[in-house]
Amino acid sequence: MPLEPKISVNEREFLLDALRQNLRLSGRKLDALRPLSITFDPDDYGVTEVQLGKTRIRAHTQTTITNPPPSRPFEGTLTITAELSPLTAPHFELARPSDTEALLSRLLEKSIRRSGALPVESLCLLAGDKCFNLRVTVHVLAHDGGLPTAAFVAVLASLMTSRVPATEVRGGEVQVFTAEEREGVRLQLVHVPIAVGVSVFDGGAIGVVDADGMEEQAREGEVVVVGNEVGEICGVTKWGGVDVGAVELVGMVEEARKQCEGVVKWLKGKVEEEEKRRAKRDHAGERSAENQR
Amino acid sequence: MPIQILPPAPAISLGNEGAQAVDIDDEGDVDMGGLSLKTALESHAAIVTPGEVITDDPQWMRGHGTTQEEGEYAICSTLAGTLIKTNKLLSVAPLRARYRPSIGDLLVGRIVQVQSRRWLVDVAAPLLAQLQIAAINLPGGTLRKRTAVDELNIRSFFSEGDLLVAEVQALYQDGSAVLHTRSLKYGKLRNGYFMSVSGAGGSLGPSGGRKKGGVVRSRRQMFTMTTPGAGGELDVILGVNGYVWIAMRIGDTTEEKDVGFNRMEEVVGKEMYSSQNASIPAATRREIARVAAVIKALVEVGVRVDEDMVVKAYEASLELDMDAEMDGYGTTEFIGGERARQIVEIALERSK
Amino acid sequence: MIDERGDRCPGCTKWYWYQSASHTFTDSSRTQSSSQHLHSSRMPLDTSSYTLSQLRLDGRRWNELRRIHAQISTHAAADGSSYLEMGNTKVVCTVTGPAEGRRAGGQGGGGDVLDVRVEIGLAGFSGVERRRQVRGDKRIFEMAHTITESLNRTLLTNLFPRSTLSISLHVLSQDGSLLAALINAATLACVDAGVPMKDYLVACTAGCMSAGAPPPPQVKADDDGSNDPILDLTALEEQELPFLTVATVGAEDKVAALVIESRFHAGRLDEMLAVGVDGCKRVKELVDEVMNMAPKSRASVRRAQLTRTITDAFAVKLRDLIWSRGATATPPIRLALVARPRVALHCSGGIFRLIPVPVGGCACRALAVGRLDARLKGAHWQGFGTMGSDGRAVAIEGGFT
Repeated sequence: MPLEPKISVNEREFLLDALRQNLRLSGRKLDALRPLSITFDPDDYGVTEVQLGKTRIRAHTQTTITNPPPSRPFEGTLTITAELSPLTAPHFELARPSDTEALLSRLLEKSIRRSGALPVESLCLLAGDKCFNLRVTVHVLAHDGGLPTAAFVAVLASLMTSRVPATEVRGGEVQVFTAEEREGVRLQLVHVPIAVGVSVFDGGAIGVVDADGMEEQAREGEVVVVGNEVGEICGVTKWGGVDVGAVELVGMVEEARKQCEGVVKWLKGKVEEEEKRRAKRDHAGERSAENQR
Repeated sequence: MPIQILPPAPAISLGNEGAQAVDIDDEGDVDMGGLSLKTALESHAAIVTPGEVITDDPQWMRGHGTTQEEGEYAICSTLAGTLIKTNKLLSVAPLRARYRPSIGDLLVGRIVQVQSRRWLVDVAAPLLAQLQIAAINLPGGTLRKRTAVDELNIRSFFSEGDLLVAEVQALYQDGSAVLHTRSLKYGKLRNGYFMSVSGAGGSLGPSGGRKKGGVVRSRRQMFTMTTPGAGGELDVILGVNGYVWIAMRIGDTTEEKDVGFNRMEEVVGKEMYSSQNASIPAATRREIARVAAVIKALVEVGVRVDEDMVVKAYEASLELDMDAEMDGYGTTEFIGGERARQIVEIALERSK
Repeated sequence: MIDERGDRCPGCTKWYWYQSASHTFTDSSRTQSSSQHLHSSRMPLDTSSYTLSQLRLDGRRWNELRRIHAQISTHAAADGSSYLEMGNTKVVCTVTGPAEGRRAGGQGGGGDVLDVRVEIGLAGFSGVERRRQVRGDKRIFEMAHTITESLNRTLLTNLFPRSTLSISLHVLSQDGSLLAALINAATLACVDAGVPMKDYLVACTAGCMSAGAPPPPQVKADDDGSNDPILDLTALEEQELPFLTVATVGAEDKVAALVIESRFHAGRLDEMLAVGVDGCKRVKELVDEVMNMAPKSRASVRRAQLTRTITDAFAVKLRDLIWSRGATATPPIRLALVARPRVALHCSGGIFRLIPVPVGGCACRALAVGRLDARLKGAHWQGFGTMGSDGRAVAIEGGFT
């Protein structure tokens, strides 16, 4: 098994020295995110690829119809799984899920599901009998830090642009229409939670937003903040690491949460653009069909 | 005077078993001076706990079990244990901890791994101890150099699971021990019973007042006990790491006759590394079991385990049996519960 | 003498939980000075006059911890072990090591520091429904990861190169604040195993009464306290309210771990964190007490609690008495345990001795004899105090002679 490459002591010291002078090796400010970009699959719904610096993540939403769990007959299901395979970096294995993978999956699941971003009741078709099962798979294509941010953007964008098939319930029977018969239905998201990580250096004295791969290796702790567009906190996670003063911690959380708001605004704009583009294209298609006939 | 009501003082005196720090004068009045003490060092608190400031006086130096932030004078404890002052050195001996080896300790260990030129030995320490092939008595005399043949036959001396008694010869930087058995007293163990009790713990000074029982360092940790009746003699080895070996004594050739270098070959060669147990008579087995039970009783009550206590407690158990027999109850083989406590009490009284 | 589950309030039928009265003092001193507290009728010692709306489902006030009971050295086979209860959340922890890593050579890492491994086992009967633990449960994994990462920075791991510390935690009963209980139990077991650490790693939960997303509240004069943050949540409260789990190193505001899994307005964070960190301070005191009392029997601990309760109650009553005498100033009152079960009430210059006398049944009477400060013209006060079985309700009869 190849080991994760470690940064050298020199690099670590240099990085820390620079941070103490408010400088980052990438030239960014301490509280600046790397440039985000997003591409939507032109042919398919709910497939997105997000790039954050050198980190690339692809998310894919699939919809199937299943039976709801007996304990929750009025709810559909939403599962989010992250995958880090050898194609991300050689030290990730397919057979053995790494800690990074498990923690990322858990972060996505708990922050999106438990904050009720997607009301699972809306996925119910027939109470206790049929419901939609949404499955979002997150593939990390390249890992250079900032996995939570990129993954959240990818998953949310995927959910916002995906369609569930149109259905009709008639006398206890569900009729599902294909995309050709009837256009799919957009998912109704209540709010859009986005994660931004603050990495802690120098015994808790320095907080750095959106660390890249090298900074992640040198850091002493991390606070991942999930926030949405209406000024709410949907989750904060600091899995140990160096201890941070309570007051500084609140400051870091607030800083990251503000960044979240910015990202959500940007993402909503992008999705809107995409939907418009799609609508235009679909109309164009219809017109062209008419013309042909 | 402004209104001022102080909150109740914390229960400092609880740790001191009553009124150690508080003087009560004739009238029953109380001097509260003892309660306003600032640090553990001054208050002679029974134990210190992690994070507790021991002293902020710059005259002290920090030792084991303490930390000192850079540029600060305050010395904090990192363990729960008793405070030990050696001149100006402050250290904390933990109430309970794994054995940490120090040079010269007599240990009982178990081979866990055989490598090409050495064995790794479990001695109940944070790391496995090493025993180099050069550090044992090779058959054919002590003054022989090890050869390639010895390395090939390494399993014929010790193999996995063998028990041995050895001494700590050196320590590595990481705290792991290097053992040697270059003495006729040391080597492979046979014909006996192994038991594990808690060891010397924090390897610091004498055992503190509140520390729980266990094997302590002492002058003699290998000794012979004579048993009444057909039991014969027993060898008892109290390893500082808490491993104890109780065995039947056989083959007194080494001790009784003065072994010269010319005879060494014979002695070492013949039986040193044999794994064959002798047949042990039932009476001896019974006495081995009794010694083991007595040691267990000492540990349970929390009394130190050393030669003096083991012998005295053993005698006490014999006497209790004899008393019971005379009273017509018959002997009992059970040494535990109330009986164990009784035995330890008698032993403690006699050792005063 | 003290009921295992808590105490029954004399005034109403509610059960209330307590740590000891001295903690009640520290509770209130957080928001108001203690002298104010003693005077105000808003938060008297016995809860009978406390409006029900301000009490939580189990009868606690917003800033009260549940009863914490802990023991160390519970398992002979382990190098260190502990048993911890926070209310009805019950956890057992055993620690093995530091010992040479079993999987030698593997796992990379280099191993220049102690390798901390945490395993969590959920007993099938620990929750409301009987349920077998799923292998690879991510929630459990995350908790184990949090404990590992927090301990990595708290324990002095550089002292044990190439060694492994295996911490295995078993959950016997779940009733909220599970992660906090696990962290506290792990800390105790590590102390018991003699692994050096910077300071105790302690944790507790804090929640917020107004869930949803209202803007941060304006502090109003008529605030009835119903929007207060609350401390140490039970399972029921965790289900309904947003909450956080916070772990601190020692009694300072140093946050080692923070886990929030619910949605709430960002303006609520600081007050919740403040209450959580404050709770950690008290948990630290309690955990420290466990270490200090480890060799003692439970009975003696209870007796000590009882005695302390008496002293606290007496302090309040005595102050009232002094004030009722028309004194314009109150001398500082200091309470101390002298020798169990005797108690001294120190009243600058004057000394009171309180002698709790067990009376038939569970009641306990305390006799207070003493003299007061010279400024009160040498008044000599004598009286009896009666205490209920709960160790709280105290009536003092007596007067100055």
